[in-house]
Amino acid sequence: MVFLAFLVIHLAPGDPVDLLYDVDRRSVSPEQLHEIRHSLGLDRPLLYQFARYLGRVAYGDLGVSIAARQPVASEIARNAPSTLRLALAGVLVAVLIGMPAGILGALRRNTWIDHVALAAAVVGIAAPNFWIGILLIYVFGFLLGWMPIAGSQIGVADSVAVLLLPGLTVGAAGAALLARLTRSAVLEVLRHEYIRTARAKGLRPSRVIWLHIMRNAAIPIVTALGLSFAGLIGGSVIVELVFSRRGLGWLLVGAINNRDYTLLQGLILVYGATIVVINLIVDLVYGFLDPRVRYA
Amino acid sequence: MGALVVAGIVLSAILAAMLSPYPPAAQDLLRPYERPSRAHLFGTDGFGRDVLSRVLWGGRVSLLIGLAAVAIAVALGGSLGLLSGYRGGAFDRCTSMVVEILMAFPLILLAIFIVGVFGPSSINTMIAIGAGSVPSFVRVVRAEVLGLRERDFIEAARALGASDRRIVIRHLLPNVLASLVVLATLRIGTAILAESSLSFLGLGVQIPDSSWGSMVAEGRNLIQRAPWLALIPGIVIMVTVLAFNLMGDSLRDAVDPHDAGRA
Repeated sequence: MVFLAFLVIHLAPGDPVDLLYDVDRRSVSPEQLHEIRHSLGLDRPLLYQFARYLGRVAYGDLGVSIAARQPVASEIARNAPSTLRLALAGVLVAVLIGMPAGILGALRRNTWIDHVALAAAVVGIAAPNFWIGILLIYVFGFLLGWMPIAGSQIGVADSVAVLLLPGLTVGAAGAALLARLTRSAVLEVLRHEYIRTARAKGLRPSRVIWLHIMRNAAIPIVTALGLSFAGLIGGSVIVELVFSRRGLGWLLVGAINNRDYTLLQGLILVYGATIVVINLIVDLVYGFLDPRVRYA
Repeated sequence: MGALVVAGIVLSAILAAMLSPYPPAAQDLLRPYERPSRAHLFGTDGFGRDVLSRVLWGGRVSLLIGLAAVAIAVALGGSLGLLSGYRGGAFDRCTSMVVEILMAFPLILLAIFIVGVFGPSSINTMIAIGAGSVPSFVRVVRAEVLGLRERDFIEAARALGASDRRIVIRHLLPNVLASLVVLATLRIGTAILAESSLSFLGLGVQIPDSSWGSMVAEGRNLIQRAPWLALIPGIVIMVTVLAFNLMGDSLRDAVDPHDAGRA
């Protein structure tokens, strides 16, 4: 996968050195350009360059950002926490809103609660997240004047207020998906005999819900949660821009607009690694939750 | 139901030239930022351009890119899936591995990466979204082929001396077509969302072309003064995506009765 990221950079039209010195075309002669290329190792075979890159990455050296002239690694490290907070907020929103909605919908099937929840879920999936963000800004920021609209604080913990709207926006799609899935999973479990047994035993409904229903419905739900985290990461890029938050997404778009390929490469690496790690965790959790899988 | 809405949307996009009450680029600087009214159903923007007309014309771009991207994905993904499923072996294992890795990534992220490397443009957006959608098609088609491969009629064809190519084209392909169509329809909605997101970020359709996504981006800074500029294209996107999703769902129910019970 790292190879893919690396390949990506070299697929880009033009030479990194050309880009670097493009502005100063007049002051740098072709001979000097050739010298620079040689010193950077750009005229060596591709595989060799890749090997060198791997070596550097192992030491945490991701190269230097072309535009900012700062090490890529430190740029990414600086902006990562903000994005992380946003992603976590999104997960919280998805779980806290999506799951109860799904459970309620399943328990009160075909009542107005169910219909409202389903309708909201459908909207959440079909509506573009940047639009939801703008809508929220308009309604809560301008019309009602309740919430602060933009910005984030790097390094210091965000106050809940600043994180609320962006979190809602990022989590909306996830909540919708989770709601639908939870509803299906719970409905599936409800059909089984042991639920009737539990109710007949006289258990309190809440205990029935937690002990029996959720335990068994947990498996597909957790899988969906883990998978939707990847979607959250994608959505965070856009939401960061909508709410003018400085984070990895903002860095990414900036890198693209500035043709800052080193930074782009580093970002692809980081995003990719994150997604792979999350999938790994989901697999592990899945194995832990479902004993049947463990011995497979 | 979904099909009806889709047909309506597609039709209005094709006939945008006839349906727009005003040419989309026509500026009327005397009437900027008008609220939706009888004269301008969706209001006007900062240059006095009629928003409805712009939405109709922007729809052509958005729909075109979305459909083209899915077409690319169907062609590439379908062929890869067929080949991979039928041949098996190292090729299959290799392809499956790459597909699994790519499937972990959200489409928007993949598309952003690809556009980031090759530069923002409408064509690159189309290619990026198409390429990003390929993995899911490969997976679905491959699964179908794996199921069909051992069936009697395939073996019969082989016994009759049919070449591999003939088997794939003449026997496997028609049977996979149904799932392909369902998936394609469902993915169009995703593709349109991806395109609008890219355009919103400024990485998709470039000026002077405009698509629904870029319209939302333009309207965003004026949200307080003229909220309809950003909100209306967004609603249009949502309705379109919804329509395609509904259509895809009903197609799926028609094709595969087993899934009809899903919520």
